[in-house]
Amino acid sequence: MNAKMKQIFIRSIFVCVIFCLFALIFNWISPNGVNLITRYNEVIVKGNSLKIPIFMKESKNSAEETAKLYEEFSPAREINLEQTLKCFGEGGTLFIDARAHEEYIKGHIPGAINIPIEEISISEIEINSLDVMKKIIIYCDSFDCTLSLDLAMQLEAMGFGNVHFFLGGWLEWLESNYQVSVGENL
Amino acid sequence: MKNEKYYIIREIVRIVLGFIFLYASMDKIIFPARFAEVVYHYKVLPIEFLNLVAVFVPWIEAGLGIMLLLNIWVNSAAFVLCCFNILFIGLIYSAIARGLDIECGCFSLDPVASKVGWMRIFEDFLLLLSCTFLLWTGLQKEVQTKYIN
Repeated sequence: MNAKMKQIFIRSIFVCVIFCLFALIFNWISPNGVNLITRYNEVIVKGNSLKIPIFMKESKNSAEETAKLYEEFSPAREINLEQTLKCFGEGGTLFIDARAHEEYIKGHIPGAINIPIEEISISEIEINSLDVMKKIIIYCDSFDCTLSLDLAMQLEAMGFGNVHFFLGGWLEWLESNYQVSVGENL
Repeated sequence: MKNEKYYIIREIVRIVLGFIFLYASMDKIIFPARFAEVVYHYKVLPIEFLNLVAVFVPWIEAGLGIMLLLNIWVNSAAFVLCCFNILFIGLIYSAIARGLDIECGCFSLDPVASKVGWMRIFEDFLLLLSCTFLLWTGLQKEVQTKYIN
């Protein structure tokens, strides 16, 4: 039995090594391949260092460039739950949900429109109808999600002058037990 | 008679498991970045190693599935799959224990189809039992001499 188990063990290691080699070759030639060592951006959120992984092989900016952009952009534009609730209560603010459409359908801040930034490019969205001076608050899942920040940066680059992002996002809103909407925004 | 019964059950289990693991690996092989993101949400690995796991694990799963289907080194394939299933059960349990409402990444990368939960643990437990059965019957002398060699 011991000899048999030893043989099984050696063969197991051997086949794992062989399949890993196949994996390396396929990953190398595949258009969907990834960097073997995951790159990440290091972002400071509320004094804590947060690593945001970049999974795809190509990225428009290097990690350093993106981290620098976050650093320059985030402190001035970030708003907390209290400020978000105040804007919601006062009205006149456009809320944008940057999460995937299926997440948006499950629940979102009442009145928020959905721009799933991971699924569609900003250039594909009809944003001419939006008032560039209107206050905009963008949110996504939670602190470890940077979709809201990405979208805020893109909108500001397009000339929107009053763009903010709510980093606590949907999770913090939900925990506050404030109003939520489900389904499409009518 | 007893051996024949084992043989038939073993063959069915071997082929079904082969198809299951091959199917489970397909999405992950095609979209490794998506799978890496699923692994990231478990929050058990250092970020640097996410892509390595996302590249290697699906290929090992697929390879072992093919080995089962083609009846090549079935004991070794079953042994590695047992280890994998124990690992998967541990990971899913830790996600449940930490209250994570995340995609399982078990059989497909469809976020709606496969959230972590007790059902996923039950499925993996069934797979673990099946792999253990393959390994156990493979180690029985009668089965080895009469049918495998």
